[in-house]
Amino acid sequence: MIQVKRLLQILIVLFSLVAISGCWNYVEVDDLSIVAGVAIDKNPADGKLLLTVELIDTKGGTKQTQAGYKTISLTGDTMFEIVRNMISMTGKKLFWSHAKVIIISEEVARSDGVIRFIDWYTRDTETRADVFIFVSKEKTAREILDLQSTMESITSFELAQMMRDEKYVSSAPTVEIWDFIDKLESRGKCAIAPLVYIHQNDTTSSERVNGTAVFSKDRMVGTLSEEESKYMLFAKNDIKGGVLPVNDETGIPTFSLEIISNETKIKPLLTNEGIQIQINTVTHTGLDEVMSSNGLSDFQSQKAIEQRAEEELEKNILKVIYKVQQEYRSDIFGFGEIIHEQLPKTWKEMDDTWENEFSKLKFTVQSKVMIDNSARTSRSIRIGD
Amino acid sequence: MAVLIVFLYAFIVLIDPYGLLKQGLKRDFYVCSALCLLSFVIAFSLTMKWDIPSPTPLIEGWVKQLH
Amino acid sequence: MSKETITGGQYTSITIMFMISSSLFMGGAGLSGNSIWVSLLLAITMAVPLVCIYARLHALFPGKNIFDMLIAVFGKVAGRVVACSYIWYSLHLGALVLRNFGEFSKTVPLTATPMIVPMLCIGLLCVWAVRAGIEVIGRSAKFLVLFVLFELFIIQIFSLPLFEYHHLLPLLDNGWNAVLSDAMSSFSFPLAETVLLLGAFHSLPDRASAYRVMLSGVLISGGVIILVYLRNMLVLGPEIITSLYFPSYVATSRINIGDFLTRIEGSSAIAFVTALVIKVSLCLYVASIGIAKVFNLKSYRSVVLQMGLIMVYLSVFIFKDIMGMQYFAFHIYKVYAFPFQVIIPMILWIGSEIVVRRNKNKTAVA
Repeated sequence: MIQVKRLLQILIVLFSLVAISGCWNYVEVDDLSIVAGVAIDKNPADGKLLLTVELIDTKGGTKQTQAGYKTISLTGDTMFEIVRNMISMTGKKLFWSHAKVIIISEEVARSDGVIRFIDWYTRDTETRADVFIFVSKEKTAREILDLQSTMESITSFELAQMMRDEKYVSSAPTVEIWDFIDKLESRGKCAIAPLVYIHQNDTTSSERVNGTAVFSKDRMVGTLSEEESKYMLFAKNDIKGGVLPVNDETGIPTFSLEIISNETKIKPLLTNEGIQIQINTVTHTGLDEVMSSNGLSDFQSQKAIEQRAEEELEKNILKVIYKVQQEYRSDIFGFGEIIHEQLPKTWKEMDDTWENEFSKLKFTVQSKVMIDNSARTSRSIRIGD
Repeated sequence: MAVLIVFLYAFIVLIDPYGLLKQGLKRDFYVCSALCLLSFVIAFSLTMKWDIPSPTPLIEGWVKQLH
Repeated sequence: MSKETITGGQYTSITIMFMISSSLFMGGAGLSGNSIWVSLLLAITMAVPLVCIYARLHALFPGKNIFDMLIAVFGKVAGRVVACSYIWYSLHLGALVLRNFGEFSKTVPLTATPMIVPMLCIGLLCVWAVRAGIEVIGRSAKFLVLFVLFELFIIQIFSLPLFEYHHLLPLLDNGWNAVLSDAMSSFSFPLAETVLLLGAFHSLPDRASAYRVMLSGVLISGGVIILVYLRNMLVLGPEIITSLYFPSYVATSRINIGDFLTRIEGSSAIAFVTALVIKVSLCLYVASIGIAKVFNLKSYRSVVLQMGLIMVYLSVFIFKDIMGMQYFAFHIYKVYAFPFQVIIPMILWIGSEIVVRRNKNKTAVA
């Protein structure tokens, strides 16, 4: 009897070993096409959806140091249909968990609205919500993926790397898809996405991320330039780094302030004429570049630089806010949400007609710039004779 | 699939109710075999993909009546 | 058969695991949006007196479980009838919880596996645990609860950088009605499910204070549930939570520490499964004990396997799909469970006080 019991125990253990390690279905890595990035366009011929995926070539093996890549395009009516039909082109099922980038062409973003394409991406379990989303400033989105780029051979990964380092530049927002959808869904906030376009060096072209696409509801309505994007990020309290150029008294750009940190506080005030939004920014900077030789020796000139920086910052932030407010009428800064949180009763009245109310908002900006240090040298380079 | 279930349950009957009978627990044996029959019927219907009435609509009906 | 006893500490651990299991992965949706922590506080305050009543029942009937109490107070026939309803409640709850797990497993991690497979695996494990006895469950619970709480603690710390405190404003956005409605929901699921723990009272030693055991269980799990809900709220924001089936899972998937610790939501599922096993084991244990008492069987062990199998099958066909499950959980359950959790125990308590008083008088007279 003991023998049988022992035997049963061993059988059970063996069985659970098999059962635990496993999966109901398994796929070899060779049989998967790993997707690095996807571009969404409109097919000019028949107006249908054109999807381009950048695949990682797993045939590299041990000889090559970098993974190869190729791109495939296909048209169809719905996203999921195209994705499945691509199996007939590659012979392998697409594997989405490593995708890093979604690029939408401007045409699609403006005319069709983005929800049609995003829902599948968030609903499906294989796709992950931490991909970066871009809008392509070129005619199509697939041109970006088709590029042979500088550092890595896979454009999507390079774009993702750019996004991770974007905080040092602050020329475009970094938007992951869950963030994008959050903003789409929230009342009192509109979505934005960074712009990507092709930059021509002499012989090679590479992709460059610069500027912002402004959305209203789920359609793109306008763009912001690189500079405007920076001030927009100031207003949204999203600045983590970057450069503030400051002019001297005569208006020539002379100083560069490196932004160390920034905090923006936004307060809505209820006045007789409506709601006034007070924006207070406190920026810690370091003086990193002096392009002239006259005087940086005393405290006074440092204060003068700070003051000029503050004035310029205030002016530019206001400029961007007014541009977005009047031209695009899209609340990308989230002022609606802030009013909802801090003045809930007023928000209830404004909730349904927020686009109109948004254009009636008044703003004041107060900036404080503090130069914490001036890097290694304490004065400008003096010209001796 | 259904044949598998029949074999499996034959095995279960051998261990469970039969084991009880051998131990001489009459009452336990009856209850256990009744339950075994019930679970066999359900398992069989599941594999044959017959429609099993779920208690949920009943409960939902009662609760809705209360409202 | 020797009397199986478990210590008070083990009992508390079982209570904690029992109550936090579902909240660990569902936690979040409800009508009250970002005021859900208020509803939870309300629910805990409502649960405390109820739990005191349960504990009082233990003091009145030391060494007896709910089925003994029902038969003692309501008589042989009526007591058995009410006992059957508790057997059904326990079985149904176990099936609901298993189905929760099955839906989770089908939706998120194991999408191609037919739902019955993970449910059956857990079910068989619970059958084994229950067959081994309540002592085994108690000892495992004591150890596992530390593991689960530790893991939760780590995940809370990792989520700290993602917290956006402004999600808590504005307070009471959706009004008091929504808060009260959510408080009722949270009260019945999971706080007042402790009624099932009465089914295991016979293993609590007479000297142990049931008050201390149950109150500490309820308060600790209440605190844990509030922390989990708050974490989900602060990370995701009230609007997104309403669209998700499993908010806790999505909240943990956003954790990203230095680009190194990412995508750890898979490991957070371990805590959930561990607590789940204890909960289902307890439901199965109570159901089997119930059958043993009603039919006067020698031991509950004889029926455990069958009950376990029936519970798993039940969880397969009680709902057609996840939307049916959600509808039931949000709208129907709090009404359906109310008699089991509140009404019958209250009648039982009043009846017990009378019966015990009468017996005391009898012995005093004699």
